[in-house]
Amino acid sequence: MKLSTRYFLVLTAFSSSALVAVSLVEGIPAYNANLEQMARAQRAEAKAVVARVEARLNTIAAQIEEVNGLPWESDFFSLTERRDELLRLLKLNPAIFDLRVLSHSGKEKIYVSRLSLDRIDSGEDFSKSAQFLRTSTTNIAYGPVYFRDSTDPYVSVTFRDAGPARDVVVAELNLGSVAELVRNASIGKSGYAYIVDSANRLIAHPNASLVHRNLDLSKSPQMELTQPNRLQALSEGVTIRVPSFDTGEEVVASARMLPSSEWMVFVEQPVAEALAPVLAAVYRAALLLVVLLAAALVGSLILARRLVAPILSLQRGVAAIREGSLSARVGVASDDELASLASEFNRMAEQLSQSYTDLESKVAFRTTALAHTSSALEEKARQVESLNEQLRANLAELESRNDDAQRASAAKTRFLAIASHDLRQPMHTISLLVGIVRERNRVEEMGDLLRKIQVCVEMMERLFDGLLDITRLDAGVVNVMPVDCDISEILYRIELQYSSMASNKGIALRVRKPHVFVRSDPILLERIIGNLVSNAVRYTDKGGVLVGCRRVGSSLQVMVIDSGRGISAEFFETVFDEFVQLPGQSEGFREGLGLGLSIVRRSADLLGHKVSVRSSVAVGSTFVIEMPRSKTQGRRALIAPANVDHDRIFGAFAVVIDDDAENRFSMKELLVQWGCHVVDADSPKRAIEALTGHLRVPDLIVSDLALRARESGFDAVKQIRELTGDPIPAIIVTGDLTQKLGEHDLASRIWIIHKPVNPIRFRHLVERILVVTAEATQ
Amino acid sequence: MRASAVVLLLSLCSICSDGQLSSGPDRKGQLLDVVYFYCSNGVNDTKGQAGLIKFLDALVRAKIRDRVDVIYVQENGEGDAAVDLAARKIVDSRPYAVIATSQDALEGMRHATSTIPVLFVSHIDPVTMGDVASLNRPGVRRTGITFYTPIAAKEIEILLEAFPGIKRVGVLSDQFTILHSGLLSELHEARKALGIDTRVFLASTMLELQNQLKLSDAASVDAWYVPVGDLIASDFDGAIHALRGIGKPIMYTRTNAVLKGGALSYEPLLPDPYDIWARQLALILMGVDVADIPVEHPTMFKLAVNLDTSNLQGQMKLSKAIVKRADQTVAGFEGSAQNQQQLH
Repeated sequence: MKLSTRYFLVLTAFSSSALVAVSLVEGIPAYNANLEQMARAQRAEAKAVVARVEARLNTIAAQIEEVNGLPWESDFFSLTERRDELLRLLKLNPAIFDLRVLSHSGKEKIYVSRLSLDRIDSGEDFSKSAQFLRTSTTNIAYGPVYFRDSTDPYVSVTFRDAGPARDVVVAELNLGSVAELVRNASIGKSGYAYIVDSANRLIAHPNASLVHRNLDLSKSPQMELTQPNRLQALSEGVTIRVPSFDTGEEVVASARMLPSSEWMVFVEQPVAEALAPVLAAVYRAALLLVVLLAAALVGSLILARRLVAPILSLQRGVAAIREGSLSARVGVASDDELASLASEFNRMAEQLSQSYTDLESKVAFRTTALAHTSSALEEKARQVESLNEQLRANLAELESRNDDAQRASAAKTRFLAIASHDLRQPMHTISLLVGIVRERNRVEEMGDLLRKIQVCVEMMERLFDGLLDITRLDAGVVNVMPVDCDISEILYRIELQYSSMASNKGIALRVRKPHVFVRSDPILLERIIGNLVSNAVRYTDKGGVLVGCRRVGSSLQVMVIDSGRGISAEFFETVFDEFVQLPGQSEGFREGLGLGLSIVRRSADLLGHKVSVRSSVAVGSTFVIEMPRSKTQGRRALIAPANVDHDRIFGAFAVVIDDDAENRFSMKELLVQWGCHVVDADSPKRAIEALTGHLRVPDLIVSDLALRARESGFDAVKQIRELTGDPIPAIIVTGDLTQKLGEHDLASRIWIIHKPVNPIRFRHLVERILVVTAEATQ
Repeated sequence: MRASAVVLLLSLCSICSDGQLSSGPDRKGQLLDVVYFYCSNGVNDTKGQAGLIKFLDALVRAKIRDRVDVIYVQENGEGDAAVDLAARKIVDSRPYAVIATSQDALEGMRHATSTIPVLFVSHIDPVTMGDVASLNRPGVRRTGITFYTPIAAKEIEILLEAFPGIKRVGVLSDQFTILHSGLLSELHEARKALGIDTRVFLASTMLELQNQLKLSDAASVDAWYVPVGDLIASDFDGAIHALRGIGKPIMYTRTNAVLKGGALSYEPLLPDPYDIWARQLALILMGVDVADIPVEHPTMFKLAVNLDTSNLQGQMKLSKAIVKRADQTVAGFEGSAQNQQQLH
């Protein structure tokens, strides 16, 4: 926003606010005073109408009392003369419709009327009539207004004579004359007055037709607003703003009560007319305010321009210098701060011009120096390019050698794979045969020999298992499935697996099992820790092995600590290589070929876990594997350590094969719920592919009998057993009730169950199978 | 026979731009057509036009002049058929309201419509005639003014008081009035209360009046009572002149009769009828149902005495008491050699 605009707005706002504030402070009281004045004027009109009506009624009453006050009780006047006097009253006052003179006992003496026949001394009894019984604090009592012939309003007035005769005169008054007073009331241009009786009926109005309709105004806003203020209406009047009862037009109404009859006189004027003087004053004030605001606007504009003019001059000078015209100068013809500023600006421009000249000479000098530096840099760049060429040649040679190494490694892997697989079968046969021979041997000397052969065979089996694992790791077919798992479950199984081994060696195996969730593949992790524990037990002759955990930041360290032979520090790096035999460890052939730690390192690399070792010879070793802790609490496995059978299920590795996806899923979830690790597949081929990526041999196969491509569950069991070389127990699930167990006896380790499968019975079967298998293995 | 004609005088009022006499309460922002319907005694009758001017002034006083077009319709034809035809034509033009300014006009409008509001004037009891259900709640789309008041007994009472000694009163009326008003029952009340005899003579025209006055019974009556009827309506001046000649006290119900030589009159009075019509029309414009607007009737009465005529009544002497009571006393009458002098 421009400065001049801002000045203008500020000045205008300030002056306008002041004017409006002054107008409001002065105008609101004046407005209220005008309103009050208008209300007072209207109440005065109402009071005047009340006075006129009272005067008219009082005049009539005075005339009647005057006639009534004559000495009628004496014999001086006859009844006829009294009648003539009453008839003269009728003539003098058109409002009197008829007159009736009653004796003090209520007997009619005289009756004269404008319409009916006159009567003299009829003696008719009126002692029970309301007119006769009506009393008042004065000699005059007004009765209620009534509508004669249901159209015209009348009121009955009773006069009691204070003289000896105590006659009572009842006059029926036509209120048309009162209506005339109302009609003649001048209330502004279009205002009018009307009267409502004590029963809230309209009895006088400029439009007599409205009166003849005998309107009840009890529900009109006028009556509803004035009824609670009748006392005020009697004394000083009430002013209200309401819609007119007949036209609905908004009016200002003032009410005042007649004290003698409690009739209410209303004076009404349309709001526009009643408030016209008030509004005129408001309009005049508003016009004056507008004029003053306009003047303030113009004054603010002029003042703002004057204030901004020197600043604009400065702005033009700055703009000229910005565009390079350093000779530009500012002229301000005043003696204020802005003139000082202009003077300072001109001096600054002078100095700037001088500095600019100095700078140009310095730039020329620096440009020449920079040209020399640039030539030197170009020479250096050429040298760097030459070195890069040499480096690229070395890298190419290195890549060629690396390819050769990888090819050699792949060849070695293929060789080991073929060799381990092909050797595994005859070794399995040899193991079985040695077992048979040992059972059949009856010669003691041969027994020891056969036991050693048995030990050698088991050693070779472990060697082959290690070779096969290394082969899988090198071939890159091991699948890693990291999940959030409870380290306590893994350590629990480790303790179960290796406690008997430690016990056999006479050492203690202690495992601390904290409930900590880590992010890892539980099968691979169990294999890593198992290998470390296995090595620790194997190379510890006294003392024991401790497995413990420690939280380090967001990681968990699992430590396998033994009191074994220890490792010299020079072997800390090579101890994880393949076929590394440390000095002192190869004394016994049974100790292995050094594949365990290699498998540990490779598996840890696959998982991204860090493995390290600390050791002292003859003191012991500590292997540490560090893994990330899970950010979430994973599913807590069900551990039931009190039940051995449950322990067999918990942590078991099962293969589920079913071509029906839903059945396969439900079976897998059931086993997982029991704590099993599960690999599932829809065919034997897929199951073998999946198991190829696992280092662990399944503990159980669960397969549907009828599979796709005319394959059966038996085929699946056979192929997996061939792959692993182990007679893995299997459960065949079938809906064919003709399938009998006899064809596949217990020796085959295949159980057949029928659909639908009862989870409880199924669990008992699985527990039994795993127990039997474990006992057979031991 | 005079030709029947409907004359529209437009000089005093405006008309719709399309020239149609159509109107209706649903028209917003347009003037509403109101027909002023006058049945004349002849083409030279200008009383209707004079009444129209008074009515227009009354509309101004009622502040509704700028909301209505007043269309003047004067029926000059004779007979009910001509009036009915004119009324039907008025109804065909669909006016907002009709002012029926005479008993004939009211009869014609009653036959022609039951939906268009009609403001009337009547000298006969409109309830007895079936024009309205009651005075305060007409119950139909007709209302207006009636001068009818059951005042015959009171007038005879005043006649007797003015001329003591009257024993037999002749009542000059017409068949229509006798049949459609309570005159006979009022005469019965007067006979009973005042101890006199009454005799009814029927005359609607001057010829019938002259024939009735020749009857022997007519000579036997002591005084005459002449209420408003066909005779007075058709030839007022002629009837007054003829009755003045019989030299007996006569009570009329129109003050004009005293001014023209009648002895006594006791006239029911209403404020300006044109103002009443204007007020009633204003109520209709405000949305008040015509059936709820009361028929207005007189509540004031005027007693007038012609001293000269009364003193020429032979043996009958005018009582001073009645002169004292009179609201108006007159000396002389129109057409007499003596100047008329109004004492009060």
